Amino acid sequence: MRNTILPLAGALICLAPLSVANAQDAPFAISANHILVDGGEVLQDGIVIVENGKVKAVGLAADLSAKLPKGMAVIEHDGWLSAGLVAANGTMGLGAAQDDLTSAFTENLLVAESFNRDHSSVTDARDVGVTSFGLTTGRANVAGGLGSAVKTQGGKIVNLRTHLTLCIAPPALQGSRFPTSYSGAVTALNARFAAGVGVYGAVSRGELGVTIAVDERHEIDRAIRFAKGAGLKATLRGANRAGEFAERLSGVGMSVVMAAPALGGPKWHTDSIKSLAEAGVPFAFGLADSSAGASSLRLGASLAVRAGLDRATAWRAITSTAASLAGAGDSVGRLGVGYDADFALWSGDPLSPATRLESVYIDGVLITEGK
Amino acid sequence: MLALTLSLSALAFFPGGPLPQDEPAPATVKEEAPAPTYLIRASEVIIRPGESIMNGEVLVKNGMILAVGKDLDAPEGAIVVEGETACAGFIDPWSSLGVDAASVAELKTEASTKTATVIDLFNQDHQRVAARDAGVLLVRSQVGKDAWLGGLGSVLETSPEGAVVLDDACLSFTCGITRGGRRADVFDRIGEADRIGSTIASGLKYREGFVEYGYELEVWQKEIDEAAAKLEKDFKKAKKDREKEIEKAEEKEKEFKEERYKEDKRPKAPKLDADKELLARAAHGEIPVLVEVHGTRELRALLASTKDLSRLRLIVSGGTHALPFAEELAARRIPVIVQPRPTGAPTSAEEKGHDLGLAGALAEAGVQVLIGTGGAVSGVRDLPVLAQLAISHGLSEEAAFEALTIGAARAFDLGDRYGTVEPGKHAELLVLSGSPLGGRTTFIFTGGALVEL
Amino acid sequence: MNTFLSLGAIALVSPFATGGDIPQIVWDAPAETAKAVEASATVETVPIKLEIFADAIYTAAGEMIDGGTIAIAGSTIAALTPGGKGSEGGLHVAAITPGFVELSPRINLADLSVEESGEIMPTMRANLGVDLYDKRWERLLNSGTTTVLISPAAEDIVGGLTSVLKTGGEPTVEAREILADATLAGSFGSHASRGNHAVYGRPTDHFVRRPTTRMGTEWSHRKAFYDTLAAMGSVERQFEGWDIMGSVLKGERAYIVQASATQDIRTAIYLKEEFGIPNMVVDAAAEVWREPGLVARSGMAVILPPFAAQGRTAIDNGFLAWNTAKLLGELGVPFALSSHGSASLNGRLSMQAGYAIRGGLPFEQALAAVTITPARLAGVDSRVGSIEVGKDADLVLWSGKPFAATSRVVGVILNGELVTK
Repeated sequence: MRNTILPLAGALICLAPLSVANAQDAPFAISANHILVDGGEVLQDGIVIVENGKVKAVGLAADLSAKLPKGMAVIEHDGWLSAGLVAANGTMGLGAAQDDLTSAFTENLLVAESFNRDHSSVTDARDVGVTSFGLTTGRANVAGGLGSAVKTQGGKIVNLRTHLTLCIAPPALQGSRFPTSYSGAVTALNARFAAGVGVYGAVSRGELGVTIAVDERHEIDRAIRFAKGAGLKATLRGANRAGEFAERLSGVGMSVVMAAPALGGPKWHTDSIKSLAEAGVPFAFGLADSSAGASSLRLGASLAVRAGLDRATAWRAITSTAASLAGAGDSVGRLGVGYDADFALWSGDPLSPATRLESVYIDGVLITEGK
Repeated sequence: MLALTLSLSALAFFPGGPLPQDEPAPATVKEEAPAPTYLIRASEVIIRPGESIMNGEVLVKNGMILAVGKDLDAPEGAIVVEGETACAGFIDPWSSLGVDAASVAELKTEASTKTATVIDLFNQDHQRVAARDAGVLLVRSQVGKDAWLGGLGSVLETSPEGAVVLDDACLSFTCGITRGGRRADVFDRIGEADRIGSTIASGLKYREGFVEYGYELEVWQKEIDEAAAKLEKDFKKAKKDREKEIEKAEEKEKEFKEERYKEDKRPKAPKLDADKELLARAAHGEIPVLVEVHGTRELRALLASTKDLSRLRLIVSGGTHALPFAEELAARRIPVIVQPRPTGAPTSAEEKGHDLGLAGALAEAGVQVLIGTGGAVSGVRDLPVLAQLAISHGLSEEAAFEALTIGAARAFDLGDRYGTVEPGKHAELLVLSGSPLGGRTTFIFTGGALVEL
Repeated sequence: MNTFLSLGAIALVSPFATGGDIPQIVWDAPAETAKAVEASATVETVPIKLEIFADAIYTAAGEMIDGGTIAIAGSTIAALTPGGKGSEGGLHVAAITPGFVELSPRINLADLSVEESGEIMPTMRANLGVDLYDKRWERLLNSGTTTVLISPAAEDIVGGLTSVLKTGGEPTVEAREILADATLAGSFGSHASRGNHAVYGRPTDHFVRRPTTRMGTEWSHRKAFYDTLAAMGSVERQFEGWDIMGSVLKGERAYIVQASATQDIRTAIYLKEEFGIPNMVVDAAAEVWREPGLVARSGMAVILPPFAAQGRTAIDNGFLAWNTAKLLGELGVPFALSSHGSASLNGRLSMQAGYAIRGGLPFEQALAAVTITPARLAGVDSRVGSIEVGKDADLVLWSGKPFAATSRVVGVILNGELVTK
């Protein structure tokens, strides 16, 4: 049941569509039958208090209702409330201009400069509950550029320079310019990291993350060897088979962002995910390396649970772990005090395919009724 | 959550029959162990959609359900299987499990092409096992998935033995779909729909031809008998007359022509045609006819061309744009097999505009909705997930459960044997922890065997 | 020291066993055979885990041992004991040879294994672009090849540095590599100029470059070594990889070039003589038999390509005569045989030795050509290539006389472990 605050909030949004800060300054609260705080923690009859677009408090209604200031608007939701979904990576909003093809090494380019916040791929993602994602390049360069963490509404950039994107696989190894071989790519990267200038130095010092896009087994092996040699706690991207290397990844402190399992997908994919979970390798689901739409995240997480992955890990793979791998782990992905008020309101347990999205809040503003 | 236990320590897995022997049988024949009786206890036994017994029990023996109720009288030594939920197994009415890829892709099939002849259950055994473990116990498989006339489908079990339940489950057509990457233009697509109607009607004519033949044969036989009798009476006179005629002809040096009686012409039997025979069966409603059709123009043409075949039992599969015809579909009792596709999944041209809300909207309009996985082998195990997706967009849980169980069974004339948990029906049952669609199967009764997960 | 068999009871019966003379491998449960290992030195600290008796041990390091036992401890050969009859119920085969060394397996990722943005790429490394998950490595190992030299595809003038790897074990370079940067790889013939072209309008990619002909190929080689000499003399003239090219000139590293047709072999020899390259090996040198004197005088070593049915080999249609190996043996030219990672059963390295024998090559020389000679050319002969105490326990177990048409490889031992087929 909704309170009458909503039409008012809607009117406010219409008046100032792009200035999120003005729209909902007055604190309000949302109460729900179930609040999915993070992974395994679920509050029954909980309440979330929002102020200035951030979460002010989360707890049981029994505990917090008494502390609510008089006259505070309380939106009652009959269903589940959770943090908005986070895609660990994605190229939404870039359209066709994902990569700069002039050279294999375009490490200083900012992907955020190509971001079109009104692109349909961004709003489509928002409409299925994805509130933020790690904007990243395609795979056409060995060093593609610098990724960011962005929201799916208003083009807000949560974190401008989150990671350097690398690719040690075709199509970065094209036939028409250096490098055309794995050897060339690795040799050149080793030289750059050894020199330690610019973004490479920043990555080596831990100021910037780094993702390596690979697919085949030998490419994963090569990427792990390279990262270990250069002393980088890199994130593998697209490596659906990474589970076979779980022990080594854990040893080097690496993480993985892969495509979410799909309907009718192969068993080795979910086996790989389970192996990573067992070895404690942080992993999350992303959208950059698959053609499936944003709805594949939640569906993939539920398919992983069906295949035997524990619920908490599966949920984190599309929220908090995804957020930290996207470089925004302190701002989004959890219902924690001080986190951005990005919520998704569901008709039921979000990890069940039978659940539908009912509404989305970003930075405390009601954005959309879900699809 | 109830502990899942078996009260007898012996493993309850029944391999379903002795293996073929190479060596000669031993001199003394071993006594086979008597078939075990199973007692299923569940917090909720779902008998049929909308009707359950809380803390109920089901008695199973020899692959048949003996009794359902509370506090049943179980015989001594019955193996107890406990779980949270017990319900009928799911049925996928639209798949190609057990058929090799080449046969599935075959476009030159005819009505008499029989899926049962090419079924190789162990072709992709892991898919079959995965489907079974997800709760799908019966599957309708079809060769020629994209062919205009795919032939006779089969219904088979996903049990370890994999019995073929029906080898003539239905006839299958497709209309206006993309074949080999190409989609015909709209006139040809409507033509396909018209042809479906006329082809089935030709089956009617074929049978009428046989009936006519039978009648004519009878009449002819009667006339022959009469003529023969008459000839008997006047034989001598007729013989003399004939001799006189011959003499007369010889005198005149003319050829003597034998008089031909029209009774000599025996009516010709119509040629046997296996295809038309099946079409006749379909036209008479003996087997259902499935048509995969998505577009509005094709649907309209299809419904029009089959309107006069009053006994035809039509089932529409796909039905992406079937909503405008909901009233007619409901009135003519035509079920629709929907394949829910998640948003953003790649679709072919005819499925463009597919909406997850289709199942719910059709059901609300009174159409009987079934859920199928669309003919790909790898997807059969995802049938419960597809049902959940449909539920998320408006299909009621009860309608979804009916679609997966008794609804699909009835569509293929198996409603008396499968689809609900009632005494006298086959024991194709699931024992789950959790709800039927969202929970995990722990025990499966299928094909006379108990599979423990 | 007591011996014991640490493996359980597995009976391996050869399906081709004709009974009688050909002994079968029978492994029994650990038997308390109190046979002391005498005479030869043993590794005291590591216990002996495997002993094999063979009717004939071909060590490639001397005379054939007529009946003897090889004891393996850890991953090396602990003892080599002639005589005896083998323990009751122990491992017993007809013959044992060292594991084969293949210098030209050509199992690579095609274009992705060679850096084609330039023609002189000495700093590129083959071990950075190898796919060890390729099923062909398994096939190679199962047919007896235990050590290989991986190199970039022969598309560049100077392709880069090669590595020596074992063909089994964990599929990582760390686990398998026994010598990194072993040799430098180069190419003569048509391959190096393939794909390059003159400018048509605007140059659109990096293939607009020299060489486009064999003349250009020779020029590029000469220029590369000329520049190397210059770099060795003056700091300003140093270029990337000059030290690697310099190591070739100094003889610290072998230079393995592909040259199949007789004109290309000649060109390679002239390059060797012009720059005084001490260690040069010609790979896939099919037509060495045309000018054998020249080859012998040059002092280079040769790797022969796999024997082809009609004589025409795959690279530049070089014609390989069946008695080429015999000729090289008589002339004293060091040579190795290769299989190019052949997928077919007939192309395996064990069969290549058989073909060479059929072409007239004496048995001992054929054995050397697939074992100790390639090991020496690659620089790993201290570890592999022959059966001697202290060397790696890489063995091929035969059902009869090695390389005979009626014999089969019945087992392979790599680093002391039996590889199951």
